[in-house]
Amino acid sequence: MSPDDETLVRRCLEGDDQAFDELLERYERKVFNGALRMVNSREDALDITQNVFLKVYQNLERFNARYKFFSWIYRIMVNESINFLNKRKPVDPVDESLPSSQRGPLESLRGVELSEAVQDTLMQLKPDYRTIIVLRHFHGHSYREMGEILEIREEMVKSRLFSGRKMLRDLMVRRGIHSS
Amino acid sequence: MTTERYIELIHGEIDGVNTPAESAELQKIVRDDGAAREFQEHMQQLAGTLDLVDDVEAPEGLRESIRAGIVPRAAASPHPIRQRVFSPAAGFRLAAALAAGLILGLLAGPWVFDHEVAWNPTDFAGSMTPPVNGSAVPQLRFDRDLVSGTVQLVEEEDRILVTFDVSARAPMDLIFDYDFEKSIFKGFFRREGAFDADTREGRFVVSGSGEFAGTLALERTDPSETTVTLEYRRDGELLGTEVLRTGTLE
Repeated sequence: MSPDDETLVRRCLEGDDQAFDELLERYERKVFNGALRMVNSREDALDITQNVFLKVYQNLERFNARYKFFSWIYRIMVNESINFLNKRKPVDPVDESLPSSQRGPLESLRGVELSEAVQDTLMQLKPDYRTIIVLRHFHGHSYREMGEILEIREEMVKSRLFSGRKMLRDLMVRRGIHSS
Repeated sequence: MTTERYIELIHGEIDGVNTPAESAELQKIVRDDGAAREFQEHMQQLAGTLDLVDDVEAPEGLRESIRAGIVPRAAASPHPIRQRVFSPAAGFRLAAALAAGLILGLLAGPWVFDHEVAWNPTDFAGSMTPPVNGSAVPQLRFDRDLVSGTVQLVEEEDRILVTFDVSARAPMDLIFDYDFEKSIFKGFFRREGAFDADTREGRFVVSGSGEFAGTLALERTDPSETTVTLEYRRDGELLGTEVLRTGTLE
């Protein structure tokens, strides 16, 4: 049975760098995908992922074992992504005046096209709402886990998630996006 | 049946958290209520669409580049050197960041050490510490029956940073009131200690006991003078108030 995250952290702190490799292996893809969904740029997601792991490594002594490692690393990913977005010029908002029929047929999308269309729409959400959609729908976190990651109460998690879904749904309808 | 109830049940069903009784309740609602049924269809369709979005593989070489940027713990310096291998522009950005950091350190260093502020740019608890390059008002120290600590306001051209370092001998709410017509809450950094934090228009509330510290960032939307008021409350009872005032930025 593979050791849990907290055991790996402890071993890493004892000088076992193979333990960090295991954490890297376990979370590399998750962190990269989370960052990619948050910033919609592969290159920037790479930078963010590198930053996240360097910060994790440099600050392992500060990790509080009372909390879950995954919530800590996800929190760093979210904060790094939001810091990055705050520095980046905002994306252009959706042109509300353009009827969806004039944006080209997006219906019956599949695979990469669908992913890109959804991602573009996701970028129209404010980062708080985007974060919660990403954590729930692309990473499968529970309300409690999202509360731990974002350090907010479960009630607020639900409120943000429900509002975020409604906004995302409305944006997708306006852009004529739905899956086949 | 309220709209709020069916909205909660529909989201709960999508998230798989409803009890059998709640699922049955929802079934009955959507059978009888067209609006609820339509909302459920919309949310199910959204969840179905999101399910179809593919995860992507981490790029080849990412793991190696992270490893390469890390000095092994046994020989680690406080600031391991990071190697970037993906972007040709990354080297220039790193150099610029290091230069900016050096300048910032030269500017901020004497002030930090002179004032014994509990602010360490490497402090980190799951968040990125924002750079400080503004002007600071004198640090305010407070010492009341159940709560003591420091709070400081740092002004920058486009934002205000409020740092606090608190020792509470009983569960306490610290309420930072700011003028939301002059500033917008942008983030919370440098979290230390266990506490809850919540924000709503014009108000940032920290609830906890023991030692805790953090920094909140407000974006300025108006350069004129503004204040941040700190209240301490226990079980709703006001125990004390501090007022921090910015200057007027040119």
